[in-house]
Amino acid sequence: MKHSLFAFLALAGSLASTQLSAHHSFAAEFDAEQQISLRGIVTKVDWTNPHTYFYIDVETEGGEYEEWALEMGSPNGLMRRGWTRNTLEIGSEVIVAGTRARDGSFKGNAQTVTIADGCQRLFAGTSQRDFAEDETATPAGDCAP
Amino acid sequence: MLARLLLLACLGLSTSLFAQTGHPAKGSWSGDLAINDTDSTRIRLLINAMNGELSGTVNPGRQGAQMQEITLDADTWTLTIRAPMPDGELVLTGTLGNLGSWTNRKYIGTYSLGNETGKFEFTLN
Repeated sequence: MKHSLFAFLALAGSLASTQLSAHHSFAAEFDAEQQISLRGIVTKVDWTNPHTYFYIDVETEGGEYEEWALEMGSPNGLMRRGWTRNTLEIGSEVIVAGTRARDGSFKGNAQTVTIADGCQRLFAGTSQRDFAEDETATPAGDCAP
Repeated sequence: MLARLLLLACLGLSTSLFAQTGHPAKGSWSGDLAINDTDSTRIRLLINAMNGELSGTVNPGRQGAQMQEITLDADTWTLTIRAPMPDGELVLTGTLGNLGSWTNRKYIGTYSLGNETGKFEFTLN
């Protein structure tokens, strides 16, 4: 009986730790000094806790494609700012301002997301402590860059 | 009592895991149509499954083309897609592979687009 209880608690603990490990500090994973500005096509949206992720195909000057993963705030935090599950549609073009992952991978923390069709700019709920919402200028023209 | 509780917990867990599975073709795919090793075109596929019926869009978005036909031969996992594109009809014929993976599932085969033919490889996003 004691062994069964121990096994049950171990299972519950391991599941809880998996959830907790997904949450992290901004500074541990992203470099605030490495600003990124990306323009790409949305290929996937993961509306998950503790962070929402979306993925975009970014065409380089050489015609190659980079697949970027971009982190935003929690679904609740985004919804309080007017986001819905359908705000980012697969296939839509977006312009993202944010910071890059410290490991140099194609991963970033999004500060603002601008939907190219209509140039609607949205705050992405970044967990960067010193980021001010009005810090990023509204993109001009066809939502440059 | 504890044994029953554990059994219920395991059943609940297995049910939720099973619920994560879906149609193997469903989802957003990205890949290239390649005439040769140096000349390729990036396209994306968005495939939905509802009540066993497949539907989808090539290059979803403002310029997207609705798929006219999607068939899956579950014996060989051969997926065939037909869609009207500006350059002619696109026909993709390929095999779904690595089905157990959510991060590296593949759709690999050959295509024709109007008079053009070549190979393609898509990865589930």
